[in-house]
Amino acid sequence: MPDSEVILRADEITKIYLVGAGVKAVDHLSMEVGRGEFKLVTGPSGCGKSTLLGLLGGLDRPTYGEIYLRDQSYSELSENGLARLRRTEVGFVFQFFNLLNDLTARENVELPMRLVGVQMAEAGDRCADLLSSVGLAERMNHYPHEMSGGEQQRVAIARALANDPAVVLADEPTGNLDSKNSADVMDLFRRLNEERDQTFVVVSHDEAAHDYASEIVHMQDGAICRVEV
Amino acid sequence: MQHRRREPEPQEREHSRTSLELLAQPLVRLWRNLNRRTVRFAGETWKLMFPYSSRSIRRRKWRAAILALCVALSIVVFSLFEAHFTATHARFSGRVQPLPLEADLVATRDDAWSPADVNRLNFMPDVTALDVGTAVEVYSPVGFVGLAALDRGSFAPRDGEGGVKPDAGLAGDISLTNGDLPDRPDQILVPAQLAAAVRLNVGDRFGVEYRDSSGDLHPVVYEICGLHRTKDPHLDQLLTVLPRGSEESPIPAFDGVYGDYRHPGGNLVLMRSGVPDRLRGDLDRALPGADLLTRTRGREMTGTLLRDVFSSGRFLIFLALVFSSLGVLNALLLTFLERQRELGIFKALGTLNDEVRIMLWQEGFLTAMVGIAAGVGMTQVLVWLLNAYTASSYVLAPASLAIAVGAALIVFYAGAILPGLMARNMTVEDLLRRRNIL
Repeated sequence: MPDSEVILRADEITKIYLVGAGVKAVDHLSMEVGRGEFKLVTGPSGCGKSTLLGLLGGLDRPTYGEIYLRDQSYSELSENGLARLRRTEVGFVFQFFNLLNDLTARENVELPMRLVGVQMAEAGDRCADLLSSVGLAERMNHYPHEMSGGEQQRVAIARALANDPAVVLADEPTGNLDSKNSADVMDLFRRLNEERDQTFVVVSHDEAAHDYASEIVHMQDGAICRVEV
Repeated sequence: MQHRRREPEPQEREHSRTSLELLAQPLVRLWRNLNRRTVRFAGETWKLMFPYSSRSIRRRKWRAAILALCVALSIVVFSLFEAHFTATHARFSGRVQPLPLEADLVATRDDAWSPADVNRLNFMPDVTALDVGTAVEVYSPVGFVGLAALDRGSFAPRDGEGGVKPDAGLAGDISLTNGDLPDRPDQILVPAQLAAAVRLNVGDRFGVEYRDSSGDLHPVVYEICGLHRTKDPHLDQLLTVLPRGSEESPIPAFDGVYGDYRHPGGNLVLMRSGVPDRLRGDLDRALPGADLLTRTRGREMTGTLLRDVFSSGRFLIFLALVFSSLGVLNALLLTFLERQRELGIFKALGTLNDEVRIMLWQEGFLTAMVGIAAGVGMTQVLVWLLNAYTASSYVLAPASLAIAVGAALIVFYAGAILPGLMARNMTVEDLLRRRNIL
């Protein structure tokens, strides 16, 4: 893959949690994510997948190493800078959806746009488009507790796409869904990846997810042990 | 030759554009920021999180209501305290009643009346009774009750045939020992013991200072029409009976012997400069065991007492503020603890740390503002009711309200600091790992 297409790069990153003698969750890991790529990170529980995703998304900082998003080094960014980067360049999808219960589906999707300062009318239009694209046009004004798990996850996906991010990072997006909803969500990822050329990095230990990825990264003990293309 | 308008040079265009923009730019920027719910401050653009704050408040409306009520009650208590002391302070600072500090000498009877007693009575801002030359009762609670009863026509009771009905007084049974009950507004019935002490008798006239409803003093002359005795010797010292309507007929001139004596407080006897020795002797006989104090000493005593009261009052307010802060802290801390995951989501989506902090503060602030509005309203109503239906005369100065509002904001701010900082400093990962505790 040529360098120009790489939008997210981890360079020898290590994350050590200072618990007891210290736990090395990610160990000298390097990886690149190209534009439009659908990368799946898989591995046994506790191998550092979610930690890696948090590091790639700027939710946490590596103990050592460097991460670049579109040539912007995370270590050069302040906390506010990192937060602004998350606003615009990174979309997150979590296992437990993490929608705000006080807000409707539409308001949840609008939230990232409002944080960036998109005007209300424009945010409303874009939100309607996004919810339509995930098949929830009729559920816009419903609160999370009025929706099924699969619907909530689709709202979360729409929210992740709100600011047209460079990369969407999904942490076990199907971990809390039944097999049908899991397939629906992965189908949606695949479709968005193909139609919008949206880049995805999905962490999952679900075997069924392997069919959707363009590249599968296997992790073991905080390091990449195998890559399948 | 066709005249063509010269196109401005790029620099001129730039200059022209810049001038116009200079005028309109702040407004345009403000409008744009409001539309985006943002505000520029300290070189940063801050997102106003009011929609999310108000949602959170609505979800926890009962807690918010209790918090607002606490703030409101704080304001009511604080404002009334301030209002009360505004009135009291006004009396002592000369705006209403400067008499005690104008005297050259102050005499007190230390066996029954301490200076603290006197000043305590003087703290009643609404005492509208008489300052009688020797009628010390008018400022005492008992005397006040007696006069009030007299105003209702029941204190100097008459029997069914128009005669005096002995042994049937309200505050103590009285009996007429000499003379008659007052018929004219300028007549007065005084205790026999008191009259003897100051060597007055029926038919004698003496001067008094009458305080009208605005607190101003007017000289009034009364003629003693009768002497009375009560079964209770203490009351005997205290009660002086005035005819109904006497307050409306002050007599402007008096040149009698006792005109130089004033009793602005129950047991206070004030003498002006140059009091003749004979009158000084009369005073000593009338009030045996009295302490004679200089004006300076009297001023010091009053000042010390005021300072004590103000200090203790302010200490109580300080304690109230501390406890209120703890209440706000508790409420906001609880809000923070049960919303950690939610705050983590906000941060994960790109909300700045300080915006999260401000969001929590906004919630407290909005709640406090509701409480402040309610408190100011409640205070106004309460003061109006107290002034209308009791003998109080609270002065609700705008400054008092402003101080109360300021105190409420300080309470809120002090209580909100810790939860706000906790929300600000926790990392996204930490917040997202937390499960909601409620």
